[in-house]
Amino acid sequence: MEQKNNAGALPEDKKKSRRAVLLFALILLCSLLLGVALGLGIAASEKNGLDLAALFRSAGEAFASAAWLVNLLAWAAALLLCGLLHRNAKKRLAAWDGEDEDASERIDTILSASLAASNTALFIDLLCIASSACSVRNIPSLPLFLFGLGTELLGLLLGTALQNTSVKLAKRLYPEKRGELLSPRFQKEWLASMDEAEIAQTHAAAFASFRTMRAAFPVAWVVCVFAGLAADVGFFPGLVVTLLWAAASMSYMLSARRLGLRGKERKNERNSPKTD
Amino acid sequence: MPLRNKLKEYRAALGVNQQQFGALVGTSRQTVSQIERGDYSPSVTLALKIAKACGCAVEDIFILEETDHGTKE
Repeated sequence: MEQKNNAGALPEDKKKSRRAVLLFALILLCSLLLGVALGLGIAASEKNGLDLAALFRSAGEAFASAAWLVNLLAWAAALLLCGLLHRNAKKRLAAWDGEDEDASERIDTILSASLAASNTALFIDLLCIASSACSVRNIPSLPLFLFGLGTELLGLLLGTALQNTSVKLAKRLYPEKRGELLSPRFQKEWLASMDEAEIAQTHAAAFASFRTMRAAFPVAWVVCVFAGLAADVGFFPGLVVTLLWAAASMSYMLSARRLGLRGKERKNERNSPKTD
Repeated sequence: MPLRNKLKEYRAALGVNQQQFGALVGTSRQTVSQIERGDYSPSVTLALKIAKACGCAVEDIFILEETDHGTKE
């Protein structure tokens, strides 16, 4: 039997807890030093005549003027890649006997790659739309601006069409799958047609995504704070990141609580005596 | 793997493919494939359905490997 102290904690647990507190204090100290160094660096650069706000502004304007080209190139690449991948998947699906596991896994990988390609182009498109919106008060050329906006909106439709093709091919590979991508009930229907192994996989992937976001939000928040200090980007970016961070954390906590209560309710139902 | 299984042999004895076996026990081809490969341990409900479809006990299909220190993690 291991010896417990008065509070009920094992000496080994106490050691681990002490180590964790020390590590936390060290991380805090490093963050503080980094923050002070960055702040001093910003102040020094401004003293030496470097206008970071103007630098950020001109970088934003440069991106906005080239956004239509970036967007066009991104969609051309996505269209080419997805076209080739979809053709390859269709060919493999036609030759698939419904049993060969390696073949089905290859098709699955191809479809995932096509989804990744269209998603990447879609995010670039969203970035370009945001950039166009920021430059709306300072348009260098109206026809070019309208052309850019047109390609950005068309890009959204193209992205949806490419993803729809990927989903249709996935449904040929997995005939039990339900749901239409364009339907507002798509995610619900798709999830309802999953079986237990797939649900477990989806839950694990969702948790991995949550962990990534938990690491990304503090970084984004720090970037916003320092961007506010250095480049006068205003309060809005920090507000958006904080709200998104809070929404992600709260929805996780509430879902965990709700699922816990549901489990408890089921247990009570099973334990309660039958009246009939 | 903690859980070994003989599902592939039992399914072959039934003379059905993964898709047909999946339909028989109310699951997908991918899950049947993942169970056969040992990549996924089914729930108790699914294990019981599989055993019923194969006409044997759950322990005949799924075997928990024993080690010197007890069952493997």
